[in-house]
Amino acid sequence: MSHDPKRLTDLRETPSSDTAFVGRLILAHRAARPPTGKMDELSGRLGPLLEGKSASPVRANPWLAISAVAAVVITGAVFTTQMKEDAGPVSASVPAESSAAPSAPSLPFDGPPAGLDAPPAVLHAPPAVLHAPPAGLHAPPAISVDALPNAGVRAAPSTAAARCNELELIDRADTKLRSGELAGALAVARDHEQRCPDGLLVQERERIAIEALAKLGRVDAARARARAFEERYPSSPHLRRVRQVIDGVSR
Amino acid sequence: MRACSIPSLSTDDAAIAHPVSGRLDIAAIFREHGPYVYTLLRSLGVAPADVDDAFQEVFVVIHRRAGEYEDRGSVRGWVHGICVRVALRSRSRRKAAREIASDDVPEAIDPTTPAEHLSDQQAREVLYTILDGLDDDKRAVFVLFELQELSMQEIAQSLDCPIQTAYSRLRAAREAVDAAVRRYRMRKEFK
Repeated sequence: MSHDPKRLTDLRETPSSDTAFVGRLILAHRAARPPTGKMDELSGRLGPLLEGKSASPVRANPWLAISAVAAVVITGAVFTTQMKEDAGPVSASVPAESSAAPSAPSLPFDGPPAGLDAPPAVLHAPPAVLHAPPAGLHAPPAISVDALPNAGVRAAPSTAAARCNELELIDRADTKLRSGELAGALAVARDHEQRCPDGLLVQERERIAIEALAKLGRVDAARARARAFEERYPSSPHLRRVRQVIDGVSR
Repeated sequence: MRACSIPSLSTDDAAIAHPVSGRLDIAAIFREHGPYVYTLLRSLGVAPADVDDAFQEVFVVIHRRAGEYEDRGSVRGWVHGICVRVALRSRSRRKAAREIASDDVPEAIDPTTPAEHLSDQQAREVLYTILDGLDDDKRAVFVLFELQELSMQEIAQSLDCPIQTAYSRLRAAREAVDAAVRRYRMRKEFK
């Protein structure tokens, strides 16, 4: 049973006129909603975070993400056949570390670069939907997540933070890193550094730059940057990944 | 040992946990809590011109920290706690920059207007003006309890403080709001 005091708006006895006045103001706040179209605009600004290549469609139907992942791994025809017969091969194609990744499913940086080990704390975790599907469900046909509708229309940014398009820059840098375009990933990271000096995704940028440097064999630069990262962000969720990368090149 | 106990994942939170993995679904958090986050930030003192940026920052933090959530209480409380911290940072930045954008200037409201004649928008502006007179700790507890209707346990979780501290801050906040309302209404008397 709750021992919380009654809220000012719930007082049954006749409240003082001051309390009634505050209650009126509070009710006006509770009735507030964002302006029309605002949530669509914000959804557009947050695009990569919300879409995460598997965000809302996954929640509606986890099979969609299974289909998308499988479509990359095997051909569409083989995939469809296998899914209808048995979901086992799809689950078996999932990297072993996926089930241990402590992360949310709708993430923009949804997989570690080829050749690297376990994923970091947050951004590299594979989608959680890679777990085995419930028995008895029939698999839908393979659908590319890229073909699914976006959460909203990307609106023109209006503030300094938005003008630097940092979500897009970080997403691009990470895509290049994962596809092995290491110099390109570094270049985009530098671009982010210049265009978004006060950005919100500095930790993500540094993690990408450190990984790119390490894979390029620029070990000293990667180590120096990793040390600076650890000093500046001692509780960062990316620290585990950064340490893994540095440990990997130090062996 | 902490003085406040943390509630387990509530029934409502099941809707924003992934149906298979049980992990947080950020798109679902956006759908379920986004509109409230937007209005909450304003009540926590974020300037109108900064609300969009603060909103974005809230979801960047949610994204970044989702892997650390680990079912440590209600998602609603967790999200509100992030909002409180982001709002604090936003206000500090604005204070440091001493920027005043044109749309920060609130609509002038005649203090002689009876409460029942205030439009909702005017009522909200009066409320935010009153809240501006509270310190950060009291404001956060008052907003989370009275405006957002969180339980005291959720508030203690959100603010990472013992529940008794949350209670005492609420008492103090109510007294401060009472005093601010009296001052506001005295202006009305002297008008």
